[in-house]
Amino acid sequence: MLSRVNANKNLLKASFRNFSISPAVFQNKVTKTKTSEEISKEYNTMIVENVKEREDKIKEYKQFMKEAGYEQTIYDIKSSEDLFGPGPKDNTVPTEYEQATGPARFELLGKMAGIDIFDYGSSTPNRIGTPQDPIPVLSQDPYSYVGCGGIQDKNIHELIYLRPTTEEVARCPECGQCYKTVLVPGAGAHGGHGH
Amino acid sequence: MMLAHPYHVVTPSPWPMASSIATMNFMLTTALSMHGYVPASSNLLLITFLVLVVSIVLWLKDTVIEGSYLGVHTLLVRRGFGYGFNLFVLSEVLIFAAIFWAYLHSAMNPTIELGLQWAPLDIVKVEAMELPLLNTILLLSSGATVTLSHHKWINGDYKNSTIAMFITTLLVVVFVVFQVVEYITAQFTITDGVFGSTFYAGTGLHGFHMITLILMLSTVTVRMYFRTFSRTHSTNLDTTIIYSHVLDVIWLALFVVFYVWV
Repeated sequence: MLSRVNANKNLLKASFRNFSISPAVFQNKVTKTKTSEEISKEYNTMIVENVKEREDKIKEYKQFMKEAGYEQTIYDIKSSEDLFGPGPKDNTVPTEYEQATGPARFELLGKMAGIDIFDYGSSTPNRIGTPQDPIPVLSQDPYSYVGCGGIQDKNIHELIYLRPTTEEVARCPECGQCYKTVLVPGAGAHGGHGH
Repeated sequence: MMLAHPYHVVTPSPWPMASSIATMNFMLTTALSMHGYVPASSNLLLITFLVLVVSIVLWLKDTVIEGSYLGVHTLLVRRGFGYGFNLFVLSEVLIFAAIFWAYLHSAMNPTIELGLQWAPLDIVKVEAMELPLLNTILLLSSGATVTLSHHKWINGDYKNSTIAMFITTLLVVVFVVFQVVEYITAQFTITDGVFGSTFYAGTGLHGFHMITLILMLSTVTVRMYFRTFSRTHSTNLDTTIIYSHVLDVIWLALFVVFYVWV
């Protein structure tokens, strides 16, 4: 459940890592109330606007890494089939870049690019979600499961599991934090039959 | 496509159950043969020991494959191994603390039955400055070579680090052999009162740990030779080094209290 929240955060982080703008929904102060449709639209627009800039930056990063002797970067990984290193040279001790495979390699390449793939940090929101302005939880489905751990630096409590949907806000009985599901772009392609 | 979490969800494996049963069989066979219920000629002790070794080896093989070839040991998983091993080391130290306590309980205040002296009356003790001193030197040398090996490995010197680790293994093997020689030539047995009991409990437990350390060091030597570690991802190497140093320190305490001070 929590990993789902993490995954959503990761999606956001990974998508916006190379932009100077971070999504307004994750900033401390959101003055205006937004509907999930508005947030979803905003998210889509930002991606489209920044595709060019993002690609340039990735190209620059790849070039930089290539000059430093690293052929493979996190952006070359398309599937788990790609997660293999070149292997060590004869009579040398392999470095982690040369040797690591699988999730460990994915994590390593992410770290080299400054991306925390598994998001070891706290997933606790740093602002208070209200019924009018809930914490958005990105999801492929029209509902999501959220483990509420409180509010960062203010009210930390044991995990309480909630089930917000796109229609209804879920409110934590312990700290009053509100959550609402927001569909990610492209969601609903296979929705409606209980996935 | 990818995992959304860094944890290693282990696939179903027969080895935990297999090694549990093998451990139980080995323990029961040991106890029963010590009390004469299992005839020494039956080879049951050897068979159960081999079954235990085989299940441990197969389990370790799976772990090595998961770590080195599947790459499921992410930083978080490695940190978990570290915590687990350090807690194991802590429990080892506490076991030795209990044995030292048992020894010192009698040694600090010898009763009238012991002749009011320590070592007890008529006990011919092991000369500290003979074989035990040599063993101490061997063990400290193994500490030096293991450190050499570790430094060479981190700095990418494949050949010398593997050789240094091999020498470490040999030094520990020689230590155990000398310990066996000492036991054979010692003038007292485990049934010779509290001195014999605590002496062999302490040095014997350390000896068993040294045999385990030989297994760990040989595993590490082979893994270094086949390069299934990288410079920064070598949890097995790190834990083995910690273990060898902990056993070094315990030996120094044993040497001072069980040999020199007597």
